[in-house]
Formats: sequence, C-alpha cells, structure tokens
Amino acid sequence: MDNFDSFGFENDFDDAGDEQFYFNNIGSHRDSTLFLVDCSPSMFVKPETEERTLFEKCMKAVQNMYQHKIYGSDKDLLGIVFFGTKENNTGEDFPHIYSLQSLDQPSAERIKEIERFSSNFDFKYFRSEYGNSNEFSLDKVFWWCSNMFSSVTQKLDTRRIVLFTRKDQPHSENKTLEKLAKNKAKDLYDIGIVLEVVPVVLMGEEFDYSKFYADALMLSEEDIKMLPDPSENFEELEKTVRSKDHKRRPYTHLKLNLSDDLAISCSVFNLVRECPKPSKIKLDKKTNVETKTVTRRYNPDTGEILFASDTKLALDIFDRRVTFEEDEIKSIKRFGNPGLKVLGFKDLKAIKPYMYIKPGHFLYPDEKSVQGSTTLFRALLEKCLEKEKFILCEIITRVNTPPRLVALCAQKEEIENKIQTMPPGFQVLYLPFADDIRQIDRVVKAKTNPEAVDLFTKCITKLRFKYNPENFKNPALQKLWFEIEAIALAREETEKVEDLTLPDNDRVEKRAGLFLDQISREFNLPDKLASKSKRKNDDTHGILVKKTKNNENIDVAAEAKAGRLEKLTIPILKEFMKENKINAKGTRKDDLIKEIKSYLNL
Amino acid sequence: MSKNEIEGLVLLLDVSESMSTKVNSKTSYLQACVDIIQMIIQRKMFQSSKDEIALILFGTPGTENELWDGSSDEYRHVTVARSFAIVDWELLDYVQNKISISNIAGDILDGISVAINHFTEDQNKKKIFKDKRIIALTDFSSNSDEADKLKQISKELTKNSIRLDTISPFSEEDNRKNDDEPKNSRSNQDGNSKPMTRQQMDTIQILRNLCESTEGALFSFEETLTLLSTYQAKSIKSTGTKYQMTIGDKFTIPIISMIKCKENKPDIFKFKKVYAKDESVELKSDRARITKDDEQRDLDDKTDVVDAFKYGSTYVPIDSETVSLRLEVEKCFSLLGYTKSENIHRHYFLGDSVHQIVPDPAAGYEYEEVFVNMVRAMFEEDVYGIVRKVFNSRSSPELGCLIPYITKETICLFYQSLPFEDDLKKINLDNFMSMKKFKPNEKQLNLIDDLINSMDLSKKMDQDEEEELYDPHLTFNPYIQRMFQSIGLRATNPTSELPDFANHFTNSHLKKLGEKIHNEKTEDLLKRCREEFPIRELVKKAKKGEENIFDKVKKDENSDDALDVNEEENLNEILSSGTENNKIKKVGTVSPVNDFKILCEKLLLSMDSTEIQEEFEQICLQIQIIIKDLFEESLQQASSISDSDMSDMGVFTFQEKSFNCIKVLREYSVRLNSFESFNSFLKAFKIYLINESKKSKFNKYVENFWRKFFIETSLSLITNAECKLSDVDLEQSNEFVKSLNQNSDNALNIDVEISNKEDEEDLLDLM
Repeated sequence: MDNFDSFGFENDFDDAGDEQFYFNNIGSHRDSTLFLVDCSPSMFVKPETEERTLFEKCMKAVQNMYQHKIYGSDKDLLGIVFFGTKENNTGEDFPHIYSLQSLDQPSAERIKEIERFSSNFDFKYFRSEYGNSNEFSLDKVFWWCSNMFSSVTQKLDTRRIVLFTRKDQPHSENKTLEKLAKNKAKDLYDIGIVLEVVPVVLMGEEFDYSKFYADALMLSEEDIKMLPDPSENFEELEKTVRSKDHKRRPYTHLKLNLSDDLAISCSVFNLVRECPKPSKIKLDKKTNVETKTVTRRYNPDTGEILFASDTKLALDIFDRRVTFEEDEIKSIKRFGNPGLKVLGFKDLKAIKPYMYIKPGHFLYPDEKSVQGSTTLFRALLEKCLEKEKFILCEIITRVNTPPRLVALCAQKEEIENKIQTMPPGFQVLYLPFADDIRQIDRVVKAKTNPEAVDLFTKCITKLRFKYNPENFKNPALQKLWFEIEAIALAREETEKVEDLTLPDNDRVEKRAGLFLDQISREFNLPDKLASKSKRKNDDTHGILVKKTKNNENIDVAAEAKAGRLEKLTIPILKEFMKENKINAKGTRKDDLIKEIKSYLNL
Repeated sequence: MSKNEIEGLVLLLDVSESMSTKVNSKTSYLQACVDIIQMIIQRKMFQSSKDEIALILFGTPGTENELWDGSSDEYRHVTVARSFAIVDWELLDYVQNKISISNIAGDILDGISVAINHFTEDQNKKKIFKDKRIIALTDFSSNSDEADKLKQISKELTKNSIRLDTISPFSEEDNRKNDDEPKNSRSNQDGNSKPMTRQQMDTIQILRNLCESTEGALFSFEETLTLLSTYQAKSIKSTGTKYQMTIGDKFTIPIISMIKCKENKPDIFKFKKVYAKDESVELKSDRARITKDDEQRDLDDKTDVVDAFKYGSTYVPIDSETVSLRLEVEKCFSLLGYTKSENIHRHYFLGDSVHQIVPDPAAGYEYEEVFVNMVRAMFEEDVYGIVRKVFNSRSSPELGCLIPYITKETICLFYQSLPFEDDLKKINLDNFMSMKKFKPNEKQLNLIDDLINSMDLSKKMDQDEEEELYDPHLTFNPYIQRMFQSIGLRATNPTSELPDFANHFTNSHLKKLGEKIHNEKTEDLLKRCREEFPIRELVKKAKKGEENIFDKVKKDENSDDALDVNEEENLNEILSSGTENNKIKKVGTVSPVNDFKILCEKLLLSMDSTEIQEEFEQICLQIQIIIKDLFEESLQQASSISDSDMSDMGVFTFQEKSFNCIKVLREYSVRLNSFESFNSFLKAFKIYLINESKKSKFNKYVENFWRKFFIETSLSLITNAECKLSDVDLEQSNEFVKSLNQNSDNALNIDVEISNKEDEEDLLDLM
C-alpha cells in the first residue's frame, strides 16, 4: 500500500475503479521541456522602464515555469541550456553552449540556481563564468539539445524546446550556418522534438519570423499572422510559455458503435479534473529518507501471513456471511468490451440541470485505428449541432467497469483572441440512473409577485459579470503550495494568497445595496436574522438537517486524553482521522474511537 | 427514521395451476414471478430498508387467512405465508425454495380482499404505514366474477389509500390489442405467452380498472425494472445542510442544501477480506513503515518519522505545529455575482453531486417569498449565480453555480460545483471541421439527418402516452441490480455458481432503451450508413520508436529487414488525423518516404487532376533532391572509412534510404501515370551513378548500390505494361537495369533510350 491510499476503505471496490479513473494521467507519462536561452550580448540590455535585462526576464519566466510544473506535474522533466556563451561545458565539438541543467525533475535546488540569474543577477560573475559571444551556431545548439533528449532513459511523451532570443535572424552573415540551422530544426521536428520560439524584444522592436524562424519552425504565413505581437507578448512572457504547454494525451481510446457492424474510433480526453493536493509523506527523522508502509494481511488465529489467493471477499448481511471470489466480483462488474454504444438521439433540453454524477470526457475522432472515423464523426457533429440533439450512449470505459449512460453533446471549435479555447468534438456528460436521483419532498409553494421579481432583476443586472473559470485559482491549494515553497526555497516571507473566490461585498453594496434594502423592506425581513433562526431552529418541516455543531475549535486529541471521545460526533472523528492519515478499519463510532486512541497511544 | 416513514407492501402471488405456463423453454410464469419478488426483497434488504413486506399466496391447496370462515368457498385457497415484517433471510429462503404450483385455480379477488384485510388488521395493531401498496402477480386466469365483491374491494382500496399494481406476463400492448379485437386472441411479439383466454381478458379489464382507480398500473415482466425504480427513489432520503446565503454584507437568505443527485454506491458493496479456507476468519492487516531505499529499515510510525511534502524532487519537512498549511476560512454561502447561463458550460461541472437549494422553512414564510422571487428573476434573466461555498472552517472553499429551476410543482435552485483554473486541462486539437479531407458530402449528411430522426428517443410511442422512451428516473443501474441478485443468490445457496452474466437480463437492460426505435427503417438507414461512409479498421501495429538521426552510425542490426519494414509501414497510420502530419508541407530528410507518401495521399484526396500533376511534380522534385543527397551522404560515409568494408552500416543505411525513396517515387509515379518524369529521372540518376563510379574510391560502393538494390529488386524504368503510354517495353527495362553492372567502364555507350533530352539535362544539372 502506498501513501496515496491514505484514507478511506481499501476494500471498497467501487471506488478503486474511480481512483484509476481520476489519476490515470499522472505518473507513467512524462513531458519534457528544454529551455534554450540566448546569452549573446544583445540579451543584456535593459528595457527603458525596467530594472532587469532581457536575459533576467527570460530566466524569471523559466523559473516561473519550473514552479508551475512543480504544482501541476512535478514528474515532468525540465532543463536549461545557454547558448552564445563564451565558455562551454559541452566539449569542443559544441562551442558556445553551456548546459546549465540537464533534463530532470524540477527541485528546490534547481530553482535556487535559476534565481541566481532571475533575481540577484551579477553580470560580472556571469561574464567570468559564462561570458557572451555571437560566435555560436544554432545547428550545433540544436544538435546538442537533441543529444540531451536522447540521453534521457525514461520514456518521454513529449519533447519540447523553448528558445528565448531577440534575434530574428541569428546567422544573417553566414548563409551556410543558416542553412545548416534550418535543416537541423527540420530534423528536430522529424524526430518529434517540438521547437518553439519566444521572441524577447524591446518595446517597439520587431521580430520578423519570415527572416529565419518561419522556415525553421515550418510556419506558414497564416501561422505567423496568428502569432501575437512579440513586444506586447513579452509583458506576459510567463503566460505565453505556460499557455503553450497544452499537449495532452488522450485518457483512452474507445469505439463509438452505431450498430453491431458500424463503429468508428474516438480519442477520449479529460478536460476538467480536480487538481490533486500535494500529498503528505513521511520521512525518516534521522536520515530524511522517504518512507512507505507495507500492509500484510494475516490470520488473527494463527498469525499466518496470507496472500490474495488465500482470501475471499465477504459481506455480512443480517448476520449471514456471504462470500465471493475476487474473480466473481469481476464477472459481476463485467458487462462487455469497453466502448460507446449509440442508443438513440434526444433533445438537448431533456438534460435537466440536476442530471450529473461525475466529471465527463471529451471525444475527438481517431483516424489511426479506424480510417474514415473523422468524416462520420463530423457528420454526426454537424447534424447534432443543427438539430440541437444529443446522442444517448451506453459507455464502458474499461473491461471490468460497469456501464453508465452518457449524453454526447456536440461542441463547436471556440476561438478567443486567435487562440483555440475549445477544440471541436463531443462533450461526454454522465447521466444518472434512477438509483442516483433522490426524491426531495420539500416543495416551495410561495408565489412570485412582479414587483419583487423586478427588484431582483435590477439587482441581477447590477451584479452581472462574465464568468470564466480561468479567473479563479484554488485558494486552499495556493496556500498549501506557497507554504511549502517558502520552506523549500528558504524564503523569509510566504507569498500571500489572493483569494478571488471571496465576494467583493463593498462593490455589491455599492451597486445593488439599494435594491437589496428595498427587498428587505418589501418583505419585512428582520434586521438581525441570527436570533430568529436560532429560536426556530428545530422546526425544519420534516427535512432532516445535519446537526452541524460548532466543531470548529474542538481539539480532538485533548478531548481524547480527557476521555470524552465518545461525546464527539462521527464526522468530527473522521475529520480528525483524515487529517492525521489514520486508516479507518470500520465505520462504527467504536471503531473510529479505537483507532484514534491507538493513534494517540492512549 | 420514524415509524410513519415506512411503506407496507403486500406481495400477492398467484400459484394456481395456470401459472405453470412457460414464458420460455426454462421459465414458468410462477418462476418469473418468484424472480421478481426476490428482486423486490433483495432491494429492500440490501439497502437496509425498514419497510415491511407481507406475502400472500392464492390458489394454494390449503387456506390460512383471517377472513375465511373455515368452511365456505369464499376466501378459500388464500394463504398468508408471511405477515408484515421487515425483510430477512427467512423470507428470501421461503420465496426461493418453498413456493410451489398447485393444481387448483385461485381467485384473485379473494386474494386482494385478504391483502386489504391484512392492512386493516395490522392497523389495529398500531402499525401505521406512510404508503400502502399491493403488488399482485398473476396471469389473470382466475377470478370469481362477483360485482358486489368488486365494488367492495374498490371502495376499501380507496378508503385505505392502498395502491394496487399488477405484474403479469402480458405487456400493456397485448392488453390493449386484445381490447380492440377481443376475438382474435394473439400472442405478443416476443412469443412469451400463450394467447389470452376470454377469462383472462375479462380479468385484465377488471384489474386495470382497479389499479387505475388507485393510481397503480399494470406491468409486464419486461417492465419490472421500471417498477422497481418507483421503490428506489423513495428509499434514499436526502439530509440537508443549512447555510446562510448572503448577497453583500447585509442581505441574507437562510437556505437548506440537499443532495439531489449522486452516484449511488450501496454501502454493502464494501467487502472485507476473509480467509478462503475458513470464511469465518476475518483477516487482520498489519501496517509497517519502512524506509523507501535499499535498506528498508523498519520505523516506528509515531516516533521515527516527520511529515513532509515533495517540492519537485526536493523533500520539504514540515513542522505542522509551527506552520499552518490551511487557509483560514469560515462557513459561508456567498454570492459573488450573476452570469449569463451561456458562460457556464455543462462540461465544467465538477464534484460528485448536485445539490438542491431550498429556503429554510424554519426562517419563516417571508424568506420563502424572497427566495422564489429571486429564482424567478434569475430564471427570466437566464442567469446563474456564482457562489463561494465553505462547508465548515476545516474545509476548502469551493466555487459553484446556482441554477434556477422552475416546474409546475416547485421552484428551487440547483448547486453545482465549478472548476478552478487549476482543474482545467486544456487541450488544443486540429479543427477537422474545416478540413476538406473530412468533409461529409450532402448525401452522407442527409443520411445522418434521417438516422437522427429515426432514432429519436424524444418522440412519443403513441398519442395518449406521455412517457418518453428514455427517462433517467426510470432507468436502473444494471450493475447494482446484478450485484444484489448475486448476493441474494449466494446468501441463500452458498454453493451454487453465479448466473451466466453474458446472457443476463441486466446485460441488455440499457440496450433495450434503444430497441423500441430499432425498427426496419433504422436498420435500413444504418445499412446505408455502412455503404455511404467508407470505414476501414486498421490493424494496430506496435509503434516504431523514433530514431535519432544524429546517431548516424548506430543502426538497427537487422537492417536487412529494414526494407521490408518500410514497405509494410501502414500508410494509413501515417495519414492519421494527428496534428503532426498535417504540418508536413515538404519532403524532409529524416523520413522522406513517409513525407512523400503523406503528401501524395493528400494530393490524391483533395484536388482535381490538373492540380495534382503540378503539385506532384513539385513533390517529386523534392524527393529527387533528397535521393541524391542521401546517396551523396553514403559516399561521404564511404570516403571516411579507411578500409573499404562493403558491409559498412553507415554507407548501407544511406544507400538504403536513398533507394527506398526511389521506390516510393516510382510507386506513386505509376499510380499517377507520371512515367515520363520518373523515367527521365532514373536515366539521369543512372548517368550520375556511372559518373560517380568512375571515381576509383567510390567505384565499389556505386556498383554495390546498383547491384544490391536495383538489380536485386529489378527496379527499372516504368514500362508500357504499367502505364500504357510509356514507350519503354519490358525488354528495354530489363536491359536498363542490367547495364551498370555489365559495362561500367563504357557507361555512355549503354543502350538507353533517351526520349526527352531537355528534361534529362535539367536533371543532370540538378545532380
């Protein structure tokens, strides 16, 4: 058992499948990015309004990218190569290239190293250690990069070079070098290394792709037109570097079966998944070596260690023990081969807002395994868009996963500011079964009146904004990362979390306060609500309400020591166990208390 | 749960002789009914329901009920097998093993009377049910046709508000058809049942009236799962959480949030591990902590370890006592603002549930009024609310949207959580909608249009039926059903095997949704789709690893096979929809063969013939340059080697590459009928080779090249056998390929038909 399995019931079979479902993308596949930074003299000028040189700004962007990777996907490999240096550490065949960091996982040490260039930059030191030169050959530089990629032993999913430079024509005087560089760039492309250029220019300066990079990057004129203006772009250098990092591999491939003998193939992507929190691990106090737990199952009567083959799965129902072999459970879950089966079509409006059970997928045609998929896919997509229909499908995502019903909703390509924000395809939305929908008896009978509705309408108009999920970062996650980062990088101050999910009440008051007051008067709402709701707390008209006691400041450990654990509610106990990664072996209160006591050595 | 929340259910089963009729070769009516009863019992049992069930049989040889006077025929042959009680194994065992067919005909009306009596009798014992229900399982063969009794029953059912449902082998459709043509008794489509008798039809009529008067219905065996759904919905009660919904500093509405929709994972699906040889022994687990290095030292979980996080590959120990990693928050439900519903896409939705938000009734009616007016305004403006929700001070804030929802019955909001920026996984994919290559033609589009109309699940079956063909509220999770059944089976017959699930009814449950629309017309349309959309399944090949071209000398050792590999390479795999290939605009040096193929295929797909020729010539020129470059490279390799080792891999590799290009060039030249330019090229290439071969240090390599590739594969000029218009015949072609070898010193004397001098010279220039 690994640390990931920190809480929850390990024998809960139903959840096990889901875990895989959510975390499938993490781990096995790695992306790699090599930052290639121009160190020739032209990079060491300061923009008029700034304190830092272009080079420092590049390094800051690189550093941000490192930090970003640590939050999101710390298994990815990153590296840094300087070129146009005087010194080199790459052997005499590769002059003017300095390999600062080989491709490896980002770490605190590496970030601190980058900080020497991004903040606290000492140009004198740089000159003596690395130096500048214009005598480089991009041909060799690309060659070296390619060598760096091929020296990585892990399987890499994507390989990317991000080149920071100010020169739109690096070898303007030497046509041979230029030609060699172009060819080598093409070669990189051919072996699957993606080369990207981030132009680093001063305000008003131009970066003409057509001089060199259009050929090197194989951009058409149209492609170039789509590129943002480099001088504006540099302000958001970090954002640019980051936004390019959108290569995703499909979660899986599934057949879309229209009938028993008509099937096309689709790639399945996940567009929205909860970003996992960094998980707490435990280190050996003495050596700071990571630790793990091993779980052994044994027969309490004999002490014999048992393996999976010696075990059966059991349930106790009404005092009767029912057992199954693990294979039998699998056979119960097996309904057929993975795939999507079209059952029919239905009006989009038939999907009611409450019909949701878990995050969905995104379908994109896959021509690789079934040729002709795209055309049929596109015909379906076009017609579903036109007729405002969705496709009702049965989905089986993997062999031993029971089927679910999904709605395939047509998605057009969406483009904003020349950047694709949504590719075309089908959104896969999970629909509930009857088992999942709950009956709620509370019926709200109050009537509306046009004046009150009108007041609220005014209120709504004043409080309207354009929602975009990209504008909200997870504040709790940020807080956690900032704290970890501050310690890792030995910062004196922890970066402050800007919690954008907090409502701007001043603004609300200013814009809509008037109407809200009016509504309060209209309905005779009491000024202070608290007293009233307390008084009538028990009268919930038949709705079961969780008693959320003020459990905010309960010190479970202290309560335990005082022998008052029994007085606490199960949610509080569970919460405590979750925080302390205590594994629950049962759900009954007694079990929980036992576990907590043993954890606290009581 | 208080007593008045529970349901009382009487299962009224017909065991008369006629119930031995077979549904299919294996199953009798009675067995089918028993299976259904088991399902009902299992559902109740495994969901820990407190509902009470009674089982009454009619058509039994014996009699055991309160109404029977002990001698008359009235209420005779009705047995209360089990009085109201919470379901248990005993009941399940009884149903599974103790019910048998009799040789008499029971009276369903007597059965219903006893059932009603069972309710009223129980009421006297102070058992109060919230819902009362009778489910009768019968084939309608038997009833005493007594008008008085019928009236009495109807009155009693209504008086006690008991719902009556009937399950029978006959579908609604059968019933109705029989109504329309009472004389033409017919079997239903599935061949599940015998034709109905006059008697059965009369009984159906009576029961339908009874059921309908109690808001009940008639169900066929087929529809049983639908019937079960009416239970399920009631068995889960949602508990609510109170919040104060705030807008600004002063405005507050007390609300209650309840789960409306969440994946149901029954608690009993959580297994424990037991010892296979002795199932009564529950395994214990023992967790040990060890270091994650080679030493694997044992550690004490409490004293020897320290908490840490990983920052990239760096370990960061954290002292939780001094550092707070948690964001300080307070419980809240605060509105940030409103946004147009179109800004919130359904695919944003995150989390595992949807909550229904209603005003807190405890706060008073005025708040309910405020609430409904707000929802109404949101509904009319077509906006959703955006809220920050914090469950308690220990939880993380989440962002969610409030969706106004108004029906005839109620008015409420639904809360659905939304992603943070961190949760979005962005992807960029090519827009195939704008690619000519994938554009469906008018015919194809019309076909899909027809298909959608034909497979539309929204349309009504017939006019007077409101029910839609797919309704999530009536569609069951077949897995849960299967699990319940397996547990039930294993519990009552521990040694028996699980059923064969491949042919289990749960397997086709979902497919059935679509079956009603799968008529001949749909079949025909699907058949035409197969004809109109060319679809070809490609065999998946193991992906070839990308080679690093900078490692020139390192090469696959089996390079003898390399030729074949290249030949085999599945073109369509190369021509995939992936972004990479669409970017290829020129033949490159690394995989010229693939590039060339892709470009040619694109040409073949996208343009008309005149354009093709022009474009093709362009591409040919590109690959011709590469052919020559590659060959030159091979000579360079050769010159760098001191001893002239013929088998040198470097030389061979480049020669091979060069030759493969010629091969593919020839292949497409034939396909595109472009023999002239190819023949000219090959002739020019040969002359170039002959010239090169004159340089003594390359002589061997060039000869070797010609022999090993051209002669061995007999690759020569395109003949008139391949392209009609070609002026090269087979003999000439054979002659051509032979000659470099035969007469290398006298190269210019070879018998080559040079047809187009100018072209030839251009190509020679190129060389």
